[in-house]
Amino acid sequence: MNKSLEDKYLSVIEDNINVGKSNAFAEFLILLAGIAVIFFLIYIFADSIGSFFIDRMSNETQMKIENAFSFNSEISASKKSKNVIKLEKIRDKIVPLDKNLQGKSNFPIYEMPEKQINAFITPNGKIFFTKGLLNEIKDEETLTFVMAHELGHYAHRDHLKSMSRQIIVAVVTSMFSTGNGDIDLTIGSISDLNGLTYSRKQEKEADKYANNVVYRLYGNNKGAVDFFKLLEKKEKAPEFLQYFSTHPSTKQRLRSIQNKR
Amino acid sequence: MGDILLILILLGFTYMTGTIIEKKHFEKIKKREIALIKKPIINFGAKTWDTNRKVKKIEFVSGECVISGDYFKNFVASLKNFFGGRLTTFESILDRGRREAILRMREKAHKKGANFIINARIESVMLNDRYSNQDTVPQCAIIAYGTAVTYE
Repeated sequence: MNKSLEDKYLSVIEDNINVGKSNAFAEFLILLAGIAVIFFLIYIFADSIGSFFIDRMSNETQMKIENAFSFNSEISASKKSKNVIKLEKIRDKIVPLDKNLQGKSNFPIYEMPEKQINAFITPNGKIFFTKGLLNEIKDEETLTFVMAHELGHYAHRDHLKSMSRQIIVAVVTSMFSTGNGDIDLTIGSISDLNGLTYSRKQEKEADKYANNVVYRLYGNNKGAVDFFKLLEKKEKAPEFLQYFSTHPSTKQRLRSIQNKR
Repeated sequence: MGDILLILILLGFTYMTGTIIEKKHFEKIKKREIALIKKPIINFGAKTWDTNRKVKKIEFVSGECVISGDYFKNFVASLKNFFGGRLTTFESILDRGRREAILRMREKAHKKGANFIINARIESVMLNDRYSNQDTVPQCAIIAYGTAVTYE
C-alpha cells in the first residue's frame, strides 16, 4: 500500500464523521431548559384560564365547590380556649372590612396541638392555628396580621385558583407521559418548580392584603414587621432556597411589607 | 424531592463513568484499527470476485458485538423523544459497536492468516423484545461477517 493511501485511512480513523460533535451534557441541559419553557407556557395558560373563570364565579358556586372538596366533619370544640376567643375577636374585626369575606363561610377557628409555627385556612374557610404559633405570638397586632394573611388567601380565592391550575397542568402532563418512570418524575419536578412560582405570588398577594388590613385597623404595620422579624429569627435556611419553597423568603417578604403602605 | 435528587446524582455519576469508558473504548478501537491498517483488507458488497492467484483456503469469519448506552445516554435519548431530532448520544454507541464488530471480524481473519475478506456484511438486531411491556434495556447487537480468503 502506498503512503498517501495509508495516510487517508489514518485520517478516516482519526476523524470520525459518524459521531456527533456536540457535548451530551450541554444537550441534556438544553433539553431540560426546553421542557421548563414548555411548562412555563402551560402554567401561564392554566393560570390565566383559571383566574379568568374563578374571578367571575358567583358566591353560590364558590360555596358549592368548597363544600364538595372539603371534609365537613365538625371538629368537636367542647370548650373554647382563651386563645380561640381572642382570635375570634380579631376575626370579627377583619371580616367587616372586606366585602369578599362576607356572606360565605363564618370562619370557625381551631387550635392544633402542634409545636411548629404555622397557620392555614382550609378551602371551606376553617382557620387553623398551631399551639406553637399561639405560644410564640401574644401581641394582638401580629396575630391580626397572621389572621388577615389567611383570610386574604380566602378573599382572593387562591385555593380555587391553585386547584384549577393543578388540574389543568396534570391533564397536560399526563398527555406528555413517556412511559419511563424516571423521565416522568423529572418532568414532574420541573412542572412543580414552575408551580411554586405561582404559590409564592399568591403568598405575596396575601401579605399585601394583610398589610393593608393591619394599616386600616391600627394605623401602622408594626404587627406585620414584628411577625417577619420573629420568623427571621426562627429560620436558618439560606435565601436561595426560596426557589424550592411555596413561600418567598422571609427577608423578601419583610422588604415588600416595609416598602408599601 | 428525594427521588429527583437520586436521579440527578445517578445522572451525574453515569455521565462521568460513561464518558470515561467511551473515551477509553475509542482509544482502543483506534489503536487496533491502526495496527490492522495493512492486514486483511475487507471487500464490501462484491457479487463476483476474481483472482489470478491460487487460493488455499476459504473460511467464514464473523465478529459480533452487543452494545448498550449508559443511564445518562438513555435518559437524554428519552428526553429527546419529546422534541425529536438526532439522538446524538446513541450515535457514538452505534459507531463504537460497528467498529468493534468489524475489528473483531478482521482480527479473527488475521489470526487465521487470511489475506482478504470478501463479501463482508453488517447486520444489526435488537436482542430484547421490543413489544414487551416491561422496561427493556436499549441495546443493539451488531454482527459483521464475511468470507476470508487465504492465498497459497
